[in-house]
Amino acid sequence: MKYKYFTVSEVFDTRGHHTKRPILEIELLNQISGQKNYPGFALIDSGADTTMMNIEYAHLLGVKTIKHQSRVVGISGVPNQCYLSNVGLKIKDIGPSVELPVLFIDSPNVDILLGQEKFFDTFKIKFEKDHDTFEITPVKK
Amino acid sequence: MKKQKNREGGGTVRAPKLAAIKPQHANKWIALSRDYKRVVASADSLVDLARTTKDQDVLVMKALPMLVNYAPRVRL
Repeated sequence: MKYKYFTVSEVFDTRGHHTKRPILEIELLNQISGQKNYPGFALIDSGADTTMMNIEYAHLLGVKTIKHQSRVVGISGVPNQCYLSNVGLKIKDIGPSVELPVLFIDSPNVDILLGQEKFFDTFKIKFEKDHDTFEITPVKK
Repeated sequence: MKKQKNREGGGTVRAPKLAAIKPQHANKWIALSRDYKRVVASADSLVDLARTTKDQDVLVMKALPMLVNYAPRVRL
C-alpha cells in the first residue's frame, strides 16, 4: 500500500520548504480484554532502533508487564529512562496486526515512533520521497 | 471516513490533513474526528482524554510543540 507523505504545518526545512514526514494512521490494540482500541498516528522512524511511545499510552492501554530498560540516548546525547513492553498494533488498510516491542518514554516530544526492531522485519518499507510517497508491504514468511 | 475518499489515483492513501490542530493545542492530548476535520476534545493527559471521549469514534494523538523536530533542523 502506498501512502502520501504528511506535510507538517509551521515546520520548514533549510530551504524554506514544508517538512514532510512518513506518518501512518494506526490502531493500538487494547490489552484490557473487551475494551476499545485506540486509532491514532505514528511516524515511521528508520533511525530508531526500537519503536517508542509516550508513556501515557502504557497507562491507557493497560500495559502491565513493563520491564525496566536501560536508558535510551537520542541525538542530544542525554540519556532518558524507558520502560519496555509489547503492544499490538494494526496499520490502517493493512492487516493483520503485529505485536511490537515498545519502549515507553516520559517525554513531551514523543507521540509514536515506529522503529526498526520487528516493524521493519514484518513490513517491507520503501521510502520514495522523490514521488512524495512511501510504500508498506507485509513481508511474506 | 470512506476508504475511497481517502485514496488518490493508483490506490495511494492520502496524507491526513490536520488543519484543525492549532498552536494552542501544542503539548495537549487531542481527540480528532475520523475525518480529521474537528478537534473533538483535548486534555493534559491521555487518560483524561479517553475518559472525556469515552465511546466516541475518534483518533487520539499528542500534539507536539511546533518547534519540535526529530532531527537537526533550521528554524527560518
